[in-house]
Amino acid sequence: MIFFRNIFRSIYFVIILFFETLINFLIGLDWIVISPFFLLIYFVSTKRFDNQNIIPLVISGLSYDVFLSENYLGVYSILFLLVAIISNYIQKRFQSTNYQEVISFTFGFLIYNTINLSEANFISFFISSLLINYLIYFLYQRTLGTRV
Amino acid sequence: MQSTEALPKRSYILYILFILLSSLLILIDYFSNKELSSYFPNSVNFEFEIENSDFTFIQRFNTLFEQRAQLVSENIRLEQEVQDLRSLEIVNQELQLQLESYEAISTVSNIQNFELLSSGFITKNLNLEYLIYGGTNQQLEVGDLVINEKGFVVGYLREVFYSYSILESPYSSDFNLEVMDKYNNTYLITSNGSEMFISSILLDNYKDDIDFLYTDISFNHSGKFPVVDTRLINFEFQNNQINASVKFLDSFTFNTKLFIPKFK
Repeated sequence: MIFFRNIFRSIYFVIILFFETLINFLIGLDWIVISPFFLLIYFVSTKRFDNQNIIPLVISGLSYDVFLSENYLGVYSILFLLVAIISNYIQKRFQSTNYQEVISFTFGFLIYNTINLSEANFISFFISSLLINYLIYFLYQRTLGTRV
Repeated sequence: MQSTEALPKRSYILYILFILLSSLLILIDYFSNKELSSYFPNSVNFEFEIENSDFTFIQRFNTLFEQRAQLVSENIRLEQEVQDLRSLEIVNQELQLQLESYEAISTVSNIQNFELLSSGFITKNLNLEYLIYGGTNQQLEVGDLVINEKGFVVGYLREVFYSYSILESPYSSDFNLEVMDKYNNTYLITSNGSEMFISSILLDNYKDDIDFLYTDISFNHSGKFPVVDTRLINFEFQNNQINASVKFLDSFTFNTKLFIPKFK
């Protein structure tokens, strides 16, 4: 059962990851990216942190390395796992503050975009992307909140 | 669902283990020269086999675009060629005019002994002094004769600067030029700006058929060039002296071709 759940979750993660690539390709803007896969990682690592997310994250990273990047196999797996750990850690560390979510989201997004760190316009790209993704995450939470 | 607050810190251990595992994968991939990461992309063929007929329309479009591009480039080439031909035609006309002027000037005797420096008018001032091309850069000197395309003297250089000179022409009241006929009688040509006056200086052997008055090297001129056609001039004899006045028939234009003959 756990095996099937992992398989299903891995497929689900990979689809979201590939959807992220597709949607950014279609938008075609250099200075902004919409990252549904990051939102997924952030959500599962802050709200539903579980060891069962490791395999889907690793498989997503490996599939990204195999099919969509020129990096060595495993680079994106490490990146996704780091995003999950650090987001969760900061979330717990700053639990007492009012802006714990913003801080953890920013750090997580920064690590998620480490690969783009060498780009010339990284700061503008990072700020605009952070704002739009946080807005999406915020709206998603509000929607979820009303349901609950 | 597990709450984050309830999780102990050791829950990261498995994550860190998988990070190490992924690092191991990176190492293997690095040392195998990316064989591991390129295995799937190389073994899986993502291309679909599409029948040739599906490309017919695309190929037609491609052909259309190619033909259009060829036509555009051909049009540009032809346009360029027409422009080149037009510029060649202009050059040809200029050369023909130059050739005609050289042919006209070749009627002067011993013209082959002279190097003809081509010149032209630049401007004129209120005193009807003409500025012409050529100066000390072409070894021109004060007093050098200036002739037109028919070979007739139109003046001499009064002042010479580096790249331009002042032409003293019969249109200037300061013009005076000593000339000689074919019987070695000498004359002085002066001008009041509207007509030329010819008066004899020394008449040793005067005859009616003098035809032309020439410049001469004995007057420090560069050669023998006609100045005035006397066949249509009525001379007046008075006290063994000849006088005549000549109205200007031709006037200078900025298209008048000028030559400065220099003895080779």
